[in-house]
Amino acid sequence: MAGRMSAPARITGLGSTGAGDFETSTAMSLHAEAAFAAIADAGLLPHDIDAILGAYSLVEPQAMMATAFMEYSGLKPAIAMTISNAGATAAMMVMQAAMLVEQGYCRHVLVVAGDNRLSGLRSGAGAAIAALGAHKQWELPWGMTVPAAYALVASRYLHEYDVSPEQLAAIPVTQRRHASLHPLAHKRTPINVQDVLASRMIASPLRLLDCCPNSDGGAALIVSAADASKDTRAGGVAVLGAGQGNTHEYIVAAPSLTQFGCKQSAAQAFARASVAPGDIYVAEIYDSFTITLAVGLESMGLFEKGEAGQAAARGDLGLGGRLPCNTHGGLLSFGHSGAAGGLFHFVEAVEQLRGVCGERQVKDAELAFVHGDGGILGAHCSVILGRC
Amino acid sequence: MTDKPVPTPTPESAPFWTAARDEGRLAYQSCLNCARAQHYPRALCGHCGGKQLEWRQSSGRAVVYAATRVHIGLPSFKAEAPYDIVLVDVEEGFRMVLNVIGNPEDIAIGDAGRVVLRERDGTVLPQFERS
Repeated sequence: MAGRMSAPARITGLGSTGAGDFETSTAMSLHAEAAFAAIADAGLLPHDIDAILGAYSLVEPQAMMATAFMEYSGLKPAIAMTISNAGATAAMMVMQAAMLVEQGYCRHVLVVAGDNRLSGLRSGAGAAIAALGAHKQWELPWGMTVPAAYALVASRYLHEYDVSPEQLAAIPVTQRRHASLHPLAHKRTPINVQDVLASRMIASPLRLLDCCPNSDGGAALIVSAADASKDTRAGGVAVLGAGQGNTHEYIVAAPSLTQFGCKQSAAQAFARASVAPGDIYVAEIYDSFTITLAVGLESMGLFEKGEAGQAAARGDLGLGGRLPCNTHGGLLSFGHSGAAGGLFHFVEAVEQLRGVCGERQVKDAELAFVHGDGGILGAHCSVILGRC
Repeated sequence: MTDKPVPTPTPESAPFWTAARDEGRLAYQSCLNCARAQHYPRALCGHCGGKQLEWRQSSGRAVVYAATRVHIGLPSFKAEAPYDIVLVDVEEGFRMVLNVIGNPEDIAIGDAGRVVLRERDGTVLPQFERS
């Protein structure tokens, strides 16, 4: 297998609107705010962007999101592509952007996503999102929703491993603590294990605080060619390796409820980066639900199967712990704005490697692991970032 | 009150729905090349890519593989909430998503039963009935 690129792509710019309830926002305005912030953060000008990668929106669906954003914003790159892989999209966009610049097609790729799924849909958001993850013919007629599908996975997890609800509840508690340290997070009020266990049941065993909120927000990255990164303000953070593992769209067709493509995606990313799981300082791992994070962490090879809950209860996943995870609060507390949700994980990872996280800073962080999961744990993409 | 979603048969799935509605049978595809069963129906075998598939009748005997009680689910299911959704493994080697007759509170992984066909608002659907 090919190893690390000799001149890996670099993330040289970041833009984020943060996540919350932004009454006057639109999907496109959130894209624009994040995109132009990222371009400025990189010390670039709009005409330096020669590729845009876009994603998807529930509120303003487009046939070609990247192209629609070009039209909206006045940016004029030659290359514009749209990737729509649910929660794995952000990581796949970074993987694709790195390939574009490493192959010499372009110098600075704008990776951008955003959606006003809270203020744009209100109570309709839940219904719209819920129906997306269920097969129209073989699941939806039986009342399947995205939380129900993840709950089925969680039911199997609790059946197979000796882990208590209290231990798993430590995951949302830890992430809420992290979010309380981030000024741009959507949910910042601290919670404890009792709060999690008392929150209303959505689909057993998942309760309200096991589920991420719907948030308005947008985020963007600039991914630059290694030699082009000298044109940028800060030089950038290297994309050392990426990998994927994909198995299914719908839970009814999942080959396993305990083994997912994250195992493969993480292994490929580590191999390409020539990095071991134990070398990672900080992890930003997709966490649409508590179970999503538990399963993702265990696939990294850093925690044994069934151990994530105990690790969380021990404090391993908190700042100062063995593997600080989702140091911005993750989707569970920083917020979830669709594809931008996954980009928030990348923004945090890069800020950790830049050393600008303040109270959230993981000391001397040199290597970060970022993971995205799409659909019902069916699409996975892992990326390893390293300080240059 | 919105109507619950109903399945729309496709050319691939029509034999399944016809067998359910007109003959009271649970049908599944069996691959003549690799001998594996599959659900949901496809134009080819999802295991080996084979194009020769045969429709067979299932005994319906099944075991619960995963289970959840949905409290906040689809708006059209509000009257039934909390309602059970189960993934069941059917004897011949395929898996289905179903609700559970009677919506028992104590539905659990490992529960044995049968896939039965029941009418709901004029549509015949497979459901799980515990033994």
